[in-house]
Amino acid sequence: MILDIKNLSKVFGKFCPNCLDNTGADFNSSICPSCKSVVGVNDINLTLSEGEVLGIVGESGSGKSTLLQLIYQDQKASLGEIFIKDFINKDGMKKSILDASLNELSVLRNSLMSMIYQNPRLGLNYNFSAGGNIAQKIIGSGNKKYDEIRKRALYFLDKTEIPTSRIDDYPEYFSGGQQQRIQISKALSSNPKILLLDEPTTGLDLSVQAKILDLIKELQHEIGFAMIVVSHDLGVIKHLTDITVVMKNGQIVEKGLTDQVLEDPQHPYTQLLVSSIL
Amino acid sequence: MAYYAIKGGEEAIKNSLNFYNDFTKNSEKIEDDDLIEAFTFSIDKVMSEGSLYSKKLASQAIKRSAGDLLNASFFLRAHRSSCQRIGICKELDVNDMRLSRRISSAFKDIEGGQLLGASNDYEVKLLVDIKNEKVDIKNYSNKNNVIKSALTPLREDNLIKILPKEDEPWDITRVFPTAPYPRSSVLQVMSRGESGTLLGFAYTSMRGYGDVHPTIGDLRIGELDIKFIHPFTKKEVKIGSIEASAVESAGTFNKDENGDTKLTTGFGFCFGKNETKAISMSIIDLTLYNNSYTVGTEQIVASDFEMVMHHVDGIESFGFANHYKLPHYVTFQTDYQIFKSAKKYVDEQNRKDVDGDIK
Amino acid sequence: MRYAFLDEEAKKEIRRSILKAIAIPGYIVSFASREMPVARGWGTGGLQVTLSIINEKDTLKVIDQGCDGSVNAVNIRNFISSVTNVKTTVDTKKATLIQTRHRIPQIDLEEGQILVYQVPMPDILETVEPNTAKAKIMHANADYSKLWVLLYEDTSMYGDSRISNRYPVIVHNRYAMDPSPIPKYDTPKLNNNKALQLFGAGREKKIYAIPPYTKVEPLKFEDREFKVENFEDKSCQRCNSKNSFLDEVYDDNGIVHYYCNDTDYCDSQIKKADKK
Repeated sequence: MILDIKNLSKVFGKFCPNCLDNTGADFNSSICPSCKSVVGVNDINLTLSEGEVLGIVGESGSGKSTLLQLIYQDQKASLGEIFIKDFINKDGMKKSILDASLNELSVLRNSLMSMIYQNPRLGLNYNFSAGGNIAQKIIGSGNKKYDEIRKRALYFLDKTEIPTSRIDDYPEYFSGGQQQRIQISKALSSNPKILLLDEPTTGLDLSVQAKILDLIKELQHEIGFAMIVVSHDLGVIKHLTDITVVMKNGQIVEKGLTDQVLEDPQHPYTQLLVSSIL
Repeated sequence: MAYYAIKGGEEAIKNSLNFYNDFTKNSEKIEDDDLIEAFTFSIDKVMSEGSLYSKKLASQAIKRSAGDLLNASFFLRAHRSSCQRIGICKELDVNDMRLSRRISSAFKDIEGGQLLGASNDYEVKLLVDIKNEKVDIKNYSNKNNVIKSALTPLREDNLIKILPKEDEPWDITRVFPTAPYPRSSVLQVMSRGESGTLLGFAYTSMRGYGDVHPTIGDLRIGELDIKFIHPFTKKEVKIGSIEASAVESAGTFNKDENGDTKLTTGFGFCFGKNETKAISMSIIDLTLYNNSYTVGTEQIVASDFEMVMHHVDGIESFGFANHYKLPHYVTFQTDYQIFKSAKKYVDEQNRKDVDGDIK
Repeated sequence: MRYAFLDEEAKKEIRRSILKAIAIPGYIVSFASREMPVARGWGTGGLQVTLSIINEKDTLKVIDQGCDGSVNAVNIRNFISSVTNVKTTVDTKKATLIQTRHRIPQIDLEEGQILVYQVPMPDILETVEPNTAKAKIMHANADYSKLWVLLYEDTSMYGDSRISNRYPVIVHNRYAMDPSPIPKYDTPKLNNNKALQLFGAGREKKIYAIPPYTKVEPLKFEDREFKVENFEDKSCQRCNSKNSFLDEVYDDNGIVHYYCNDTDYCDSQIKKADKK
């Protein structure tokens, strides 16, 4: 097991004792009736094995993106623990990454995990060249040799079909699809054990989408990292993932093998989702 | 500026001005020549910001303002508006300056030597009685020092980035340009700009909100002749000379439009002796034209043309800041009404529950 | 005027800041910087550090750009001497306390000597992150990625870092430090120096330090050489030294001459030659 999430919750607002119990899929609401807070993520328990690809599907507001942000710690969790393999404290006991010190957090985000955002503006620094962005990630993971850094950046740009002659160009001079691919190069260049993808192809045109999905799938098979893919597009989930989890109002309503969940959904909400595919 | 809607306004204004005269009446005893000699830097600042070279008028403006130099600059600008433009003088080249002071921080020694001239740079600022040491200046030279900028060798070696020259210089007092701003208009705005504002903007660049790393290549103070084609005789005549400050700073290097690596420079120029202003202007010039990716362009005031073009003029900012003292009770009344109705709305909403019914 | 211009409370606070700085090599400590009779940017930080540690037994040397005779150095030396009556010298070997701007003396310093640097900008991160709050968080996280990416971008565009002086260094494997605008030629001298090195930035109100025998290395790629200023085929026209940092000076006829930047070093070389 590479990732173990226990009782993870995120509440936007006051967080009274009633929040978790009085919101969720059964209540069809994420808003606490007592204190009006929004329960984004409600008591999630989830595990991920090495090399496994997990999909999280749900409509907007289901909490799927928030869940990713809590793992990557772009947002601070209100409750719960997350354990990553080999992340231990001084006594050798496993330690929740939510308790990581600032220095440990840098290691987590630079070496162990990488995140690919829907909007490349969040994942790239537009003041660095394409190569510079990738270099930042590689250097962050510990490599201080220029030639190796440059070679690795060129390697990943080539893998993501960005012309290597453009390595010194700045992100704003690339198309949206290319910027996304530079983001992917950057995320993979540090050799992460876990890759988090938040709606990686939403907003890109269909041919580009297909290319990027194929690329991600190929790289995942080649390198073997574990992956969590968040999407409201069932086609993306079907294409990439082994296991799927369905979220509604911050809770998991169904979990299983992707094929099973999509072909034979059990929960009424999942049935509704699956049947709504055009 | 008329004062509307107050009864007895005229009386009040007259009395106010009378009281104000208590401040200015004492300065009337001071002769213009004495003021010009005693407060030479104040005179120079006022001429520069007033954009009118006349020491006598500057002196009168300072007296009428009881020492408020920005107000004095305002007087000069207003006077300028009343003057008819007779013509445009020949272009001045600061390399022709008759130097009274010329230094370069970029080189240990330069042609003609580091001419310190009169400067308070090395003054120790202690308000204690220092016995005035009379220094006998035995070997001073009377000759005219006309020396080219210390960066000239670099320019001649084609190492300096030269920006494209405009056919006609712009005059913002006749037409204010829109973006993209011609460089002549940018430099004109800064040359007339308020010294403190320029210093503030330049300071942001010096402290890292800009990637320029400036070094003063040439700082000079001296006299420049004003030459003019006589409208009747059509011959070139000298109509006078002005004292001016000019600074050329060297910055970092980058690639120009042809891909050649060149050293960047910035230029500062103003009437009279105002080194701080000329230095600041040259640094802002550098930062404006050499925006760098390293630090990013989002929050950089000194590399934003809009910031510089619209915010450094002292008379404009001074006027607008003080205009807030004019009656604004109509607008405030409208603000207050909107505030009250918005507050009412929010209070009502808070009293309702999630379904819209009053709790 | 009291000894060394500053009152005792001021000196105590500065000394405490210096001690804290020495305890955490390369870490920037805030201090209550006073306005001094010389303008901010003219060495008020170095001056305050010197004034708070100087005593009657010290021998003071002050240099600017390597030269004891430069106006800034003369001004500062005269001021310190006027408020302390301390012995002054131009001989680096005889000085116990050396205040410097932009250079490290050519000859190696000894144990017991203190080198006080005048620093314009104390935070090396200011070159890539001018926001002081964000920079402080970066130092806390040892997150110097922006400096590294700058190095990467410069190396790919121009073959090497564009930084000419004030080259970032890593102190004691932890903090990235601003060595003040010294040439790269001097950067290696920071490492394992027998003397105590103190850095004062008056306008920015910060003090930092490198205790003796501390590891200080330039921030550079492992597979790239640290190139310093080159004077290969040139030598000083005064003393013939081929081993010193040289000044390039143009005379009135436009002809270029080379002289040792460190004037005391040049003088001592001439003395050595005379003795022979």
